[in-house]
Amino acid sequence: MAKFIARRLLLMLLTMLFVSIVIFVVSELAPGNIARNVLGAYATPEQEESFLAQLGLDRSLHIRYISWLLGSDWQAERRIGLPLKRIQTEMGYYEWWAEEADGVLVQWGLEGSDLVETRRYPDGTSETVVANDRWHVDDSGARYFWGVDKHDKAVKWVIGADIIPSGAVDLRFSDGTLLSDTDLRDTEGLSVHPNAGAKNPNVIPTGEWIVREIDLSSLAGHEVAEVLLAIDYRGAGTQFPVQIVTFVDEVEIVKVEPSATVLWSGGFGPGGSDFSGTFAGSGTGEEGDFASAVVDAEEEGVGASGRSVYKASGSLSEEQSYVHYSLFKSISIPVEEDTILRYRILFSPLAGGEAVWTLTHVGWVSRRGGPVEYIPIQKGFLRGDPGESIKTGRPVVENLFRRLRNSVLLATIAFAIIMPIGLVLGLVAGLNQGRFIDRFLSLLGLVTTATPQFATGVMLILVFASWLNILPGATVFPSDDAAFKNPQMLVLPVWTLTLIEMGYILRITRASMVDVMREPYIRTASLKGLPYWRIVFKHALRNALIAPITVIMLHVNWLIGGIVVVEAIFGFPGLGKFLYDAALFKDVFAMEAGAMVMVLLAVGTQLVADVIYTFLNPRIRYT
Amino acid sequence: MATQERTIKVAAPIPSVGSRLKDGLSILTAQKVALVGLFLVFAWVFIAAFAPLVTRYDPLQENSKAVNQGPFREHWLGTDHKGRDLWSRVAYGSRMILVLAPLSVLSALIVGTTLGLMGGYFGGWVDEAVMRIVDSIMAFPTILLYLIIIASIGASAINVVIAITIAGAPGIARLVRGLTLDIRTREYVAAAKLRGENPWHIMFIEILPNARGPLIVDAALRVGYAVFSIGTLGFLGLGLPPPTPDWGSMVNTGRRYIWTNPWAVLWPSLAISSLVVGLNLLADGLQEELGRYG
Repeated sequence: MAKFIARRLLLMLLTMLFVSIVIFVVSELAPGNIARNVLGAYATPEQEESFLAQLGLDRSLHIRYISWLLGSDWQAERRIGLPLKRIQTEMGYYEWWAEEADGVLVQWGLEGSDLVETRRYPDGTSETVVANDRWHVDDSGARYFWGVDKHDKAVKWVIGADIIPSGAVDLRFSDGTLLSDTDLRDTEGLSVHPNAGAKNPNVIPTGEWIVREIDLSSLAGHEVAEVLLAIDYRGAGTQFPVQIVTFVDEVEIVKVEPSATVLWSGGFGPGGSDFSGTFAGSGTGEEGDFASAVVDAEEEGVGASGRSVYKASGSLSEEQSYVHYSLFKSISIPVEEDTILRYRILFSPLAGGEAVWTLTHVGWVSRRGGPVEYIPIQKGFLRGDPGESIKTGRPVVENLFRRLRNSVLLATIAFAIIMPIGLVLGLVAGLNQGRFIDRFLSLLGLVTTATPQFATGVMLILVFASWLNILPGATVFPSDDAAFKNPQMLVLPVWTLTLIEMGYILRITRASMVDVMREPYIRTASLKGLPYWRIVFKHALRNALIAPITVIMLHVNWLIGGIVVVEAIFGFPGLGKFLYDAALFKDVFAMEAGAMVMVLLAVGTQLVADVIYTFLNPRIRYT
Repeated sequence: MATQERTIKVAAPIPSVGSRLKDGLSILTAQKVALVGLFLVFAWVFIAAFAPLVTRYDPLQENSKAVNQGPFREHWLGTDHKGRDLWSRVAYGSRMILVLAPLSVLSALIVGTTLGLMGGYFGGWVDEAVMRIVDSIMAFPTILLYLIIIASIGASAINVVIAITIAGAPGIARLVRGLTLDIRTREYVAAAKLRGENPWHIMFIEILPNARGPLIVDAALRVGYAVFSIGTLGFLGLGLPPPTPDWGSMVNTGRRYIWTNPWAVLWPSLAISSLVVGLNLLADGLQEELGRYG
């Protein structure tokens, strides 16, 4: 017996695993988009993308499944380097914190360009400090940090990685002629004139050397007097202070002789460099208007690879603001007939900076410099945390149990009515096999069972709510105990459920009773001269009830289906409606949790039915 | 080889078409209730087949001047919230459901029978695999299965058939497997094996025809379930996309106007009830006459 139960439990777990995988895969393949469901049809693709990233839905399917099943805190811990701990606040909410060796809990946030650390001490006090020393620097020079934010997510912040540069190289000749390397626009994507940068859609490719060659033969006899590099940084839609860190690695000006030897080469560099930097400021995007310029320029020194780092930070207050700065160098290069000027320029790769869309009290706000990667932290289903509903942002469990309770209430009341009536009517029909009462009850049972719940429900609403107006046609649950205060609103849902189930039970009981009454031992009892009622109650009944009771347990799947439909008809806030809404909304965690509960109910009751059956029927018990 | 086959045919004579038809009719006439079922089903089949002849309006034709009307002379079942003739919509709705229901049962039969035969005949790991899949699908509450399938592949006629196939095939597979386990031990299967027939031949030619009795009754019941399910799917908004006339979705949309226009939900509800009840009565009569099997 124990082995049998163990085997069944194992199979149940396997089934649940299978079901959960199917739901994940199917919800992934399904058309439609959870982001659109949440944000509405007017959300832009950027908003959707940002939303999906914040929920960790941009990660690959198997990672999300593993996170759901086994949790993601350990994945986050690996990146953060500190153990994570879930605590419960006084308000009853769960929060994730990183825990330092001395028991101090920390969370982080980004304010402007500063990493701000909230430290919570074991004695309950907390303080907020700036912790810029925690930044790591990657190869491209961008600073990054993995930490826990205030929304229970492990996030990676990157600063200096979210600004789009554009720029040009100009040559000023000794006679005042200005040669802009305008051809860049079409071929390489460099914008033409620095001042047009804000409006120019062209963007410099980053991370690769851009090699330009300019034939100067038409300007032979002149002399290049100045090299000017102008760069714009734009952050469209930026409404928050922006931190800019850029690396202009090198500008090389080469005069190419027929022999192609390098005549002159120079570059930006600290100290020895005779380039001078000016930072022209930020503006509203209108040409020449730099009135609101901010700008606080500083030279930060040499980067790891010997490149100089220029840093400017400004407050970009309006859309399409930009920061513009230019670097000059006075040089002297005589231009001859065959002079070709070649320069190369490299802009460091700007790691995928993210515009983060967050819903605030003033609506959707885009903010640059937000996290570029998110791992929503969850403990995982197997560790007792089925995750958060995407729709409500609250733990699935909260709602699920309330809904489950409502459904159980509905089903219990219905069952309490169905079972006695169904069994009694079934027995009556079975004992009167072939007579009018049997035919009538059997037919009635067939008709009520065959009629779909929605048709039954709607017809009941028509009669009792619409025409007679004596019962409410919908269930509204303003509070948790509404069902007890207004029990009349449960009448029609229970009735609908009763009608469809009762016929089934009636027919099974009838068939079982008919079979039992044909048994030889009943005939023996009858021949012994026992009174009819005694035969029925003492001998037939117990055996006749085995089949219906076990079959009813096996029928839970069907009952659940009925409950889903009944809940949909009457707007009853139960588990069925929960699952139905979750499926239509593609709220995968809610769907998983609801489905797991349903599978547990369905398979669990089958197991219970088998066990009961085994105990009721000694023939099975001993084989 | 040929002689052997003839011997088997002689040993298991197949009744002529005429006598089989007579058998079928006698089953139906023996039971008055089944006859009622037959009448209901035939009535709907007739309406479906001759929908253009028995209706006066296009089921999709909207009429803003006659919205939410009760039954009257021009529209004898009334009109819905868009002024579409309810009788036309009910009649054309029967076409859809009477095509899709048998189609989905057929498709479930094909899939389920194949799986069941394979499991029962080959046994071993094939059986184990088939039964595990069947168990897993059957552990799903059917409605959840529909929700997941339709939500993932979208609502359309084909997808409704697919959903019902997936939901229905495991039950059929289990039934066929049980029957196959029994039939597999018969002499004629052993004979076929000795002849060196290919397993598929044995499964489909030797075993399947001998399992047909319970299968036919099961299929008849399943057609009723399928109509039931298609209606429910339509009601839950998972059936055919509007404005296709579909009984379930007619009830669903009609619900919003139930206070002003009860007819729009009453007729399709009655229609689906009568069809499912008819099919069940028919299947029930068939079962009473044909069988004493589980």
